[in-house]
Amino acid sequence: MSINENEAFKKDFNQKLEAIKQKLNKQEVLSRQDIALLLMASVLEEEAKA
Amino acid sequence: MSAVKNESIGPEESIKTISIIQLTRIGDILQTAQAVRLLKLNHPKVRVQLIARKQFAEPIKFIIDQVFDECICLDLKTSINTRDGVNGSITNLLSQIDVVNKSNISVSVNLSFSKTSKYVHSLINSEHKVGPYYTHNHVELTQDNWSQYLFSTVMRGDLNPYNLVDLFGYILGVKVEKTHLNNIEFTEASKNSIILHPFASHDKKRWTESKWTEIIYNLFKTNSVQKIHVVGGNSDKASMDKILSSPILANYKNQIFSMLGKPLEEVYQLADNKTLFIGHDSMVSHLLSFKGVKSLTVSLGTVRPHETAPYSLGNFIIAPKTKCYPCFPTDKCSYFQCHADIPYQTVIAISKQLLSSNSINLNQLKTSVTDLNLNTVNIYKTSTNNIGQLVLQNVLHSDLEIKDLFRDFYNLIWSFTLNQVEPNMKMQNISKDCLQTLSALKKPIENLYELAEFGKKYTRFILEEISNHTPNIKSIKMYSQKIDEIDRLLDILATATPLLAPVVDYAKVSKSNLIGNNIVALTEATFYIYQEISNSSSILYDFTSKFIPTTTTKTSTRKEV
Repeated sequence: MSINENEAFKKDFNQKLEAIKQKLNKQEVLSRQDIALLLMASVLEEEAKA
Repeated sequence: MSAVKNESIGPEESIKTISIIQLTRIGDILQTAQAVRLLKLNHPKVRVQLIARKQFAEPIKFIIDQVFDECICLDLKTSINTRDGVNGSITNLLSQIDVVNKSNISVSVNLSFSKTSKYVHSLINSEHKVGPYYTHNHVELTQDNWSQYLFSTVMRGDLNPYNLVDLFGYILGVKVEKTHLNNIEFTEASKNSIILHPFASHDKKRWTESKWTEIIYNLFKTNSVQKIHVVGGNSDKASMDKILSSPILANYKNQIFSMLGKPLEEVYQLADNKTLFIGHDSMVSHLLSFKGVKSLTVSLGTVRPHETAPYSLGNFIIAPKTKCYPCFPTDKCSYFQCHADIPYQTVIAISKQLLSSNSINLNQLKTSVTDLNLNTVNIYKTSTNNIGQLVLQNVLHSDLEIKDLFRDFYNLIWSFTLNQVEPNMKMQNISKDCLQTLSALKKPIENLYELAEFGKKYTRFILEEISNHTPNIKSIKMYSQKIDEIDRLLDILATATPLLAPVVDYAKVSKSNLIGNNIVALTEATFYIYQEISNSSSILYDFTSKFIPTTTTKTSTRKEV
């Protein structure tokens, strides 16, 4: 099963992504974990395009 | 290929580590490796680390190991998996970055420009960052001039005069004039074999199999070559079968060797000083340029030979003169006019000459190929100019076309503005069409200058208002609106006059990366950007004026600038 099909993974991922958006809205500084999650989003985006 | 090393030794330097991020494909890694080879000639003691994707770095590890002190292969895809979950995947990704961060990195350089590479760059602990990255507030920043140039010009148009290796070198701080490529030919005049790469990543960039079949047939029939090794990936098998099943090649099958899917190291070892490489623009030509193997590249579609020519001297590139060439990957095209504009007869004639003499004799070429078959192409030879940049010399047509002329203008502008060096421009004729276009450009260049001067005026007004005891916010807002208006007009001007777009695009990228943490510093930086536009437009105006005669003549002779 691919990541995009795994509902639990997707849910957790989207929640964390949403939390980052909230941080950015409040102009808070992102942590290394946050940037790593954004890196993950970018890699998954590339994979979906390929 | 070898290069001449500058013998002068500078002041004692402590060993610094430079970390280079190159997450794009094999061809880009090879071009990065060429730039690092030049860097090492300038700074032999510097330690250089490459960060690349595993699937692209491993096939060319034998080249990477020659140039880099360390290669860290990232395997981003497998780090992300459902078994480890989101938190586990984050840990996996960070643990790969931690391997990079074990070194004490002085400078990290991102040469890839993808979103992924910008995040990787953000996660690397380095004293200085060159090239794009995200700040911890998720603001994208590219602070160095050459990376801004690369992003503004290379990605948007075909007026970039620089080979990507030289551009990467400039980003890394290489002084290319100290690393002039050697003129000694690796390849012998008389050759007996060809490494052929008739495939490409996109249909736009490759001929159909039938044209290559004609070339192979003709070279064997005239005994110009004894064997041809065809290289490519496993995905090229159907195309290879099409070539081999052609009835005209039935008698020559035992002289054609398929190397599809073979390791690149084997291809590299196979090429010797009696080999000619012929093929479309691809990483194979970049790979063989490390050895100095003579090459003939057939450039089509989106390929921009000035940027991607193999980085060694005496290589040849044939490119179509089609008006829409080079196009963009997003441009739709079903007819492929540029494919038709390069006749295979011309490629055969050039190949024969290169196989027997390493060079092209124009008179001989004109007797073996009709004018019709030569008028639709440009033939370029790689060479270096007075400051060591790799340049393309048009060996077929002496009259410059407008884009060639503007590439020369821009080379002078950027080389002087960003590196304080001046490339020579040689005496050459310009075509009648070129002259007409130049005459029509005077007014838009004047407009560009005027807009830049207005930009300077309003940024100065803002600075004056801020320096008052009681700055008037309303006035500052009004001046800012004027500046926005100027920027919109600059955009319109660049769209209407694409030959001026590089100046506007570079200014836009610089403006989005302003350095300063208060309104005064930012406004001052904006002023200097308009100053740069103003200077560039003045230089362009002077250049165009030099070429436009007071009385109309058929052609104008270029003066030494």
